[in-house]
Amino acid sequence: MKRILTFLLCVAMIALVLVASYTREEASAEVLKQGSQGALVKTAQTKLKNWGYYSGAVDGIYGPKTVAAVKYFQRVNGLTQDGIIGAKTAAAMGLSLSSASSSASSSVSGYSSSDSYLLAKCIYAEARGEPYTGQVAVGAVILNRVRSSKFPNSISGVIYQPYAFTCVADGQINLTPDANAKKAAQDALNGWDPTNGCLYYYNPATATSSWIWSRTVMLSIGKHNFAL
Amino acid sequence: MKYEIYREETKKKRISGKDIAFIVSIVLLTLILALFVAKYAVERARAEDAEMRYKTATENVYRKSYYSLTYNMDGLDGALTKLSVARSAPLRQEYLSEVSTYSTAAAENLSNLAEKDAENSKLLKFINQTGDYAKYLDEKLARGGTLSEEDSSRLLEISAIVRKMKGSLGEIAGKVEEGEFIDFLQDDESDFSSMIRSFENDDVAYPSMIYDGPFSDSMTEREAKALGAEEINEAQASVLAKTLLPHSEIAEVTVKEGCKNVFETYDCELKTESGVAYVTLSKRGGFPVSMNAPREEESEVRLTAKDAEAIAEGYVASLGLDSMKAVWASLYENVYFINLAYVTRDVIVYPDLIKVKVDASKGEVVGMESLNYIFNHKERNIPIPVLKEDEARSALSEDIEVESLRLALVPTKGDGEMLTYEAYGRKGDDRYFVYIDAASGAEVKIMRVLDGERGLLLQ
Repeated sequence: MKRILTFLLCVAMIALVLVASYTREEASAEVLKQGSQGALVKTAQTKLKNWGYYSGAVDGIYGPKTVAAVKYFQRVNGLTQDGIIGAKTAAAMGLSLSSASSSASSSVSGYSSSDSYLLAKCIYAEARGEPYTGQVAVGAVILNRVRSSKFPNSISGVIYQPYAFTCVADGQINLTPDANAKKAAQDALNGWDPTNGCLYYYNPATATSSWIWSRTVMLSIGKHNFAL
Repeated sequence: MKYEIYREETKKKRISGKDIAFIVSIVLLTLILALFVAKYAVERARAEDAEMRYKTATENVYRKSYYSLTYNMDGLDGALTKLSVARSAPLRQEYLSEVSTYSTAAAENLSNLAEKDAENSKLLKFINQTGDYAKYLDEKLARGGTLSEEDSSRLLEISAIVRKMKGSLGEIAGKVEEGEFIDFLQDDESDFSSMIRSFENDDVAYPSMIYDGPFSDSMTEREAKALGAEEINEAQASVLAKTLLPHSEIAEVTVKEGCKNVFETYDCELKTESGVAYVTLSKRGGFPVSMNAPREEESEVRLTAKDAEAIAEGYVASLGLDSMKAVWASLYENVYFINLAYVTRDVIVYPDLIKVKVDASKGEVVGMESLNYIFNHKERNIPIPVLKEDEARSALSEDIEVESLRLALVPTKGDGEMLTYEAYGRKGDDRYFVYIDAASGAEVKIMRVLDGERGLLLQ
């Protein structure tokens, strides 16, 4: 009798745990950390995977691999490496942890969707971690394209031209730019062009298009080659 | 015996109790499992549905661009054809403005249909140039000019390529209906990709378009006119770089090969007490191309725009450029952005522009940039103005209360220059710059001063 009761109790507990985990997915979390589960974790994993920080399964379970990926993301983006997705990391990932924080963050910037902010977003997504001049140079290439007849004639047109920037295709363009990227955008808009009019840049370590290699390299800064 | 029966019964009872528990737990487990399978199925269906909707939405955006491109190429073809038989200036202007409108729209559509790993820039350049050129011709006719032989024959060449493009779009129309654009653009061999690529070949004879507009071919052949002939070495660069940061203690200078585009440069990194400063110098002549110094964020603005202008003028003079005058000041995030233009015989030469950033709190120069000066500055024969000052004044709208008037050489849309009278004045609360052609008295351009969040701007 005792054994049966224990067995039933176990089944009930398992059911309870499962039901609890099920309802937890629907609730909004303040932070995501090891042990967290659900749709938000899945979104975070998808983003990390798309950007090359995470190689595990997108299963919605915050395990050690996810922790490692978050730490890697935090290191690259100059955040505290605790492996926990708190407010700052979430903002850097473009992830809203709860409905309340998402409505607040959208009204915070004050830049609205002006061109200089869009330029900063593209610089941040394409060249964060690069030397400052390299960030200005990426901004300058975008502005040189706006002025060129070979490309669309507005900043948004150039940035959102299909296949033009990988950061647009994989969604990193939606990350929140840091102060450096904003400054670089401002410097580029004010005319600083370390490339003297280049229209292309690529990372020789990762560029896959054979065509891009045929361009004449005018300048190398950090990981990027700038070309005409 | 009684005892035996009792034992038998309890045994039976016991077994049946176990059975019930077992069945209940199996049922419970099955139920939980079923719940999760159902939940998974629902989620999966939802995800698939969402994916389908996203895919359709993307496909729709591409389709819209494609159909608009077809529509706009038809319009462009029509306008160019009518233009070739139109005689009178007003009608020609009407069709030229249509050409410009359809080209702008077609270029936008085409850039939305860019392919993976492919360059469709020749076609895009052609369409952009066509619109720009039509606009230039429209303005030329508006000023009383005429279409030259060269203009007419160039328009015919343009028309022929547009007709070819229109035909190609028509040929693939049926095939395009059979697939999805999302796939076409990723596939080099798709009919759409092949059609676009056929316009990138060298056998499409795009006319060379040199005219006075921003997309003119002449704009791509820039020359660093202001640079000297003698090349400096890295050691000289290192010494020169320091002179661009007169206020800083410099611990270390690293000089690297810089950009090779148009002219070669040295990129210098200078370690200062407040961070790294970047200086770019041209190899030829050691001319300062750009300087950007780190700046401590301070909230207080202590300088007036006049102070900042004087500091900027002093700074460029210390670099050996003493004919530069501050022509514009704008305050943004506690930094004054000062534009300085070359001045000769009291004429402001706007193309020869140098920008200097002055910290509004400390009054130190924290940045400079001189590409405009490098590309434009040369010995000029500035013409004598035909118009007298009072004639220029009378060419202005009576509604504008003129505060100042001076001669200015301004860049035209392409790489040309024009001598003008620059009038600065007010109408109500609005401030304007109005430019009057110093030869003909025609109004050339009006700029409105905007006090925006990024400081003073010109519109």
